Parts: sequence; structure tokens; C-alpha cells
Amino acid sequence: MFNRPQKPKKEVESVFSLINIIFLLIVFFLVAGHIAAEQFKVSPPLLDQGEVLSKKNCTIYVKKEGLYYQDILLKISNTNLANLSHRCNGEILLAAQNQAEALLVVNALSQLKSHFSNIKLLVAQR
Amino acid sequence: MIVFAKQRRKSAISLVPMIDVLLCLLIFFMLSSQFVRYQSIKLSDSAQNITAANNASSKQPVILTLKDNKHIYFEQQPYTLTQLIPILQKESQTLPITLTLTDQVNIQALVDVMDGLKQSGFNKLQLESVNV
Repeated sequence: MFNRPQKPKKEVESVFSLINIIFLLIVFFLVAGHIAAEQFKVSPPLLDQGEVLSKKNCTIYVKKEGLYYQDILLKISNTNLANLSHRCNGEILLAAQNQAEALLVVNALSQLKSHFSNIKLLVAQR
Repeated sequence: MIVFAKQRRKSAISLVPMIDVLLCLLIFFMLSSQFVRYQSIKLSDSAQNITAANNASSKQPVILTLKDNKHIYFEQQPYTLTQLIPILQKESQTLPITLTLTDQVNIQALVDVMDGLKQSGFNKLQLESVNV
């Protein structure tokens, strides 16, 4: 008598485990992250607790080359700054790289403070 | 003759569209979510406060100098922030503070000092640059 070995049954991979993993990932991203309202192109300094960022902010990027507003180098003149201040309701947010020289912020502050009533510095929660 | 309708086979719900939707949701959340929580600190109010405070009173501001990222110089002596705060609190919390900076200081160090002073009740803070 010949006993032919039985063909092993073709196993169908269950998709339930895949669905579980995808669900877990979605829940993780929902809980740990939040929908990006605004992206900044710098790594700002870290702080334990700062103030809540208001939704509508005019952002000036502080760089070695100067101050950038909407990716354009800002020409520092009274008329330019007055126009910008009028457009931004006197509020401005300075964004700078955390390892950049602090003097850049101090210089920017001295240039802007006569035109803007509310100047803030962007930070990230530690 | 009675003809019975053929019994339909029970069709199983396909999971493939569900997986597609879930994958789409996953990709959306992966791309749109961010983990950095942006905040802000005020810079301008402190400058206005100190100007007003200087005008109102004849108190001389305390001058602190940040020459590097670790030490704060007060009366020519280097301190860390934790050492300095009790010394300043002995003086007075209402004294305005002028923080002078050199080009060796980065923004992170400045923010740490400003936050430490603010947490300890020193709200009248002015920033100045100094050439060493």
C-alpha cells in the first residue's frame, strides 16, 4: 500500500491582524499628534510652558542675513514696518533657530519695537 | 409543479475596501499630524514695562550679563541660574533687570534665562546687546 502524503491545506492569512495594527496606528496618531495648523521652518527654542499661540500671526523669520517675511528679505524702513504693523494689527511673531545667536533676536526687537505693540518669540513645548 | 427558488449562498462581507479606507486614514494622519506643540513668549511687554518702571522710579536696574550659554555674570561673578535667583530675590523682585548678551549666547540659553527669571517673579526684563 502506498500512502501518499496529504497535501498541506493552503493557509489563508487572516486580515484581522492587519486591521488591528492599522487601527492601533490610527489611534496612536490621533492621540499623540494633532493636526498641523501651521508649520514653521525652524526648530525653535524649547520651553516648559509658554503662551498659547494665537491662530493668526504674522511671522518674521530671524536669520543672519536679516528679517524675512513671507520668504522675502524685509527692507527695514519706517514705511515698510508701519505698513506691516498695520497689516498685522501690531502683533508679530519672531521665529528663529534655537542655536542661532541671541543677538539676532535682540537686534530684531530693537528694530521692531517702535512699530509693533506685541512682539512674541516662537518656542516649542519641551 | 412547485419550483422553489434556489437558495442563495450567504455572501461574506469583503474586508478589502475597509482596509483601503483604513490605510487612507492612516496615511492622512501620518502626513498631517505633528508632535511639536508651538507656543510663544512675549518679548515686547517686558521692554515697555522696564522703560515705564525706570521712568517711574529712580531704582537702578540690576545688570546681568550672559557671556556664554551657561553662566550669568552678576557684579563680575559667574552664577548659574539656580544660584542667581535666590541672590536676586534678596535684592527685590520689583527691581528691573537688564540682561546684556554677547554674541556667544544662543537663543535657547536666552529663553532659559528669561523663563527662569519670569518663573521667579522678575517680570521687568530688558534685553541689550554688549560688545566684548
